[in-house]
Amino acid sequence: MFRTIALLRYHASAGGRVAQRALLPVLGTFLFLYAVLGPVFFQDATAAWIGEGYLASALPALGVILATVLAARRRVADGLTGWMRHLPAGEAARRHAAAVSLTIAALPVLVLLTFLTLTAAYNNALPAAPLLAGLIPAAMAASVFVLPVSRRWSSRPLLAVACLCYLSMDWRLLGAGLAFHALGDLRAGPLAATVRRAVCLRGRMLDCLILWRAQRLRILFPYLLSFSLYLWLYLFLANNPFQPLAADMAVRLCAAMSLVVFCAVFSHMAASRRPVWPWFRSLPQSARQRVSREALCLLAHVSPLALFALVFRAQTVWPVLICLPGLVLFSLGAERGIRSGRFGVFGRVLGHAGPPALLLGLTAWAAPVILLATPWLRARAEEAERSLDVSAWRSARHFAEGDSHTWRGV
Amino acid sequence: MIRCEGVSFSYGADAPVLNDLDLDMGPGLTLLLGPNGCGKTTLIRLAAGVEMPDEGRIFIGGLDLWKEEIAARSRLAYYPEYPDLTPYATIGEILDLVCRLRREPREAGVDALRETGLSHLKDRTVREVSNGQRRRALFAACLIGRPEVVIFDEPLEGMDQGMRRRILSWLKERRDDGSAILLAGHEIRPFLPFADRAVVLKEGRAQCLANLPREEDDEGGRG
Repeated sequence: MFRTIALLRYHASAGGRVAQRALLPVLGTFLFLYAVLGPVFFQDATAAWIGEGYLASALPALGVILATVLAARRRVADGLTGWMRHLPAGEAARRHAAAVSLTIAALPVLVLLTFLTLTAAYNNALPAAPLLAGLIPAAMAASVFVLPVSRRWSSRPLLAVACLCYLSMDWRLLGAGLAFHALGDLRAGPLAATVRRAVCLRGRMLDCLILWRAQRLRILFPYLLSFSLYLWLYLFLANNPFQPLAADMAVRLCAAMSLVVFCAVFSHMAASRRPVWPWFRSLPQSARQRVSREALCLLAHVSPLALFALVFRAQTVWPVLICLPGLVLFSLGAERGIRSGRFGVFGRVLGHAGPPALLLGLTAWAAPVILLATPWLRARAEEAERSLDVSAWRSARHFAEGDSHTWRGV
Repeated sequence: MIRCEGVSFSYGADAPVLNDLDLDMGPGLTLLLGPNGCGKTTLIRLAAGVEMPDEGRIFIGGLDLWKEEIAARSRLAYYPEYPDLTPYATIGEILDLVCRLRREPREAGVDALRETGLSHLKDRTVREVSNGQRRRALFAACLIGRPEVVIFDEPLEGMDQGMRRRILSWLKERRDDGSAILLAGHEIRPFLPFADRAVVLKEGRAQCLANLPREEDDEGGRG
C-alpha cells in the first residue's frame, strides 16, 4: 500500500506541474472567448448541451476531456515505461498512478467544465449533479484510455463506453460506467515498454509514411478545425435566406478557408514533429521528387475536405479544386522555412494563403489566376527544400512541445 | 542471482533479437559483450524488468521478475544508457520515490544527491537538466539502499572523469559486497581488473567465455 501511495504522490506532483503550466493558457483562452462571445452564448450553448442528455450530452464533454488528456499524455507518460519500470511497484499501481497524474493535469479544463455546467444549470433550472459526479471518473477512464497499455485494443472500447456512461447524465448509467471502467482497467494490462511493429513499410513513399507516423492521431486536429468551418457554413445557410449567387460565394469561401486552415495546421505540425532527417537528403533523389511525393501525400489528405463542398453546392467545387495544388505547394514551401516568421508555419500559410482564399470566395475567376501561379509555387517549394535549414528542426520541435525553457533564445 | 530460462524476445515480425536464451549469472561482475545490434541492451532491459520476454522467464535472486515483481525488483538497481525519466518530475522527487519504494529513509536520497553533486538541482525538473545530469541522477538512484543485483548499460558513456571514477569505485564496492553486476558496453577496459566473467551474445544466444578478454581486445565485438 505504501508503494502505491509513494507512486501516487510522485505522479500527482508531475501532473500538478503540468496543470499549473496549462492553467494560464486555458484560463486566458476561456476569458477571451467569454469576452468575445458573451455570457449569454455560453449559457445557451451549455444549456443546449446539458439539456439534450444521454449521448448528445456525453459526446462533446468526452471530446473535450479526451483532447485534454491526450495533450497532457506526452508530458506525463514519457518515462513511465523505461527506467521507472525497474522500481519495485505493481503494474496496476503504476497504471493507476499515471491515470491520476493525467487527471490532475486535466484539472484546469475539468474545473472550467464544472463552472459552465453549474452556471447553465443555475440559469436554466437543469439537473447538473449527474454530469458533475461523472466528470472526474470520466477523466480517469479517459486517462487509462490514452495510456500506452499493452492490451489497448481490447481495453479501449470498454473505457470509451465507460466514459460515455459517466457523462450521459443518468445515475443508472453512472453505475454502468463504473462497471465498464473496472473491466477496461482490468483488461488494460501493464504499461507497454515497446510498441511492436507488425508491419514494415518500405518503398519510395517512406518519407510520407514518416510524416504520417509523426502526426499519428494529431492528424484529426486539422480535420476537426476544418470541418468546424463547414459546420458554421451549414448553420449560416440554414438560418439565412440567400440568393444562389451569395450561397455560392459563402460555400466557396468556406471551402477555401477550410483548406487553408487544414494546410496551415498540418504543415505546422509536420514542421515541428517530423525530424528533418539530414541523411535522407543525401540519397540520390532530387528536391523536386521529395517535394512532389509530399505534395501527393498532402493532396490525399486535403482532397476530402474540398470534395465535402459537394454536399452544399456541387458547382462551387471546381474553382476550389483548381487552387488546391497551388495551396499545397505553398504550404510545403512554408513548412521548410521553419525559422522565418513570427507566427511559424501556421502564421505564414494563413497570412499568405488567406487573402487569395477570400478573393476566391468573392469570385470564382480567381481560381485560374492561382492555377497560373502553381509552377512558380512549385519552384519556390523546391528551392525551400534545397535551402532547408536542417539544424532549425530541434528548436522548432522543442517550441512546439511547449518546452521553451530549455531552448529559450535559440 | 540473475537467471534467464529460455528467454526469447523480438521487436516485431522479424527474426527475434534473443532466441531461447539460457543464462545464469552469480555474484560478481559479468561483462555483456557483442557487436552492435546483437541484443545487449535488450537483454539488459529484460533483466531490469523494463521489457517483458515473449517467452521464457527471468529470475532475480530466485524470484520471478514478472510473478513476484515487487519482491524481485526490490533487490534491483538499473542504470540505463538513455535516461528516460518523467519530464515534469523534479530530481528530488525521483530520488524520494526510489527511497520510498525501496523502503529506505529519505535521507538516503539526500546523501545520494550530495555524493553525485546534484544537491543544487534537486528542485529542477528533468527537462531542465542536461543529459549528463539526468544520468547522474539515475546513478544517485542506484546508490540508495544496497542493491543485490546491479544492471548497468554503457555506464561510462558521456560521464566526466570524476564521475567515471565514482562509478567504478562503487561497482567494485558492490562486487566485493557480493552483489551480482551485469554490465553491457563497448568500453570494457576500466572494468577488466575486477570483472569475474564475460558473456558474448551472438545470434540471439549467449556464450560464456572461459577467459576474460585481454586488455587489447576491449572493443566488445570480438568476444
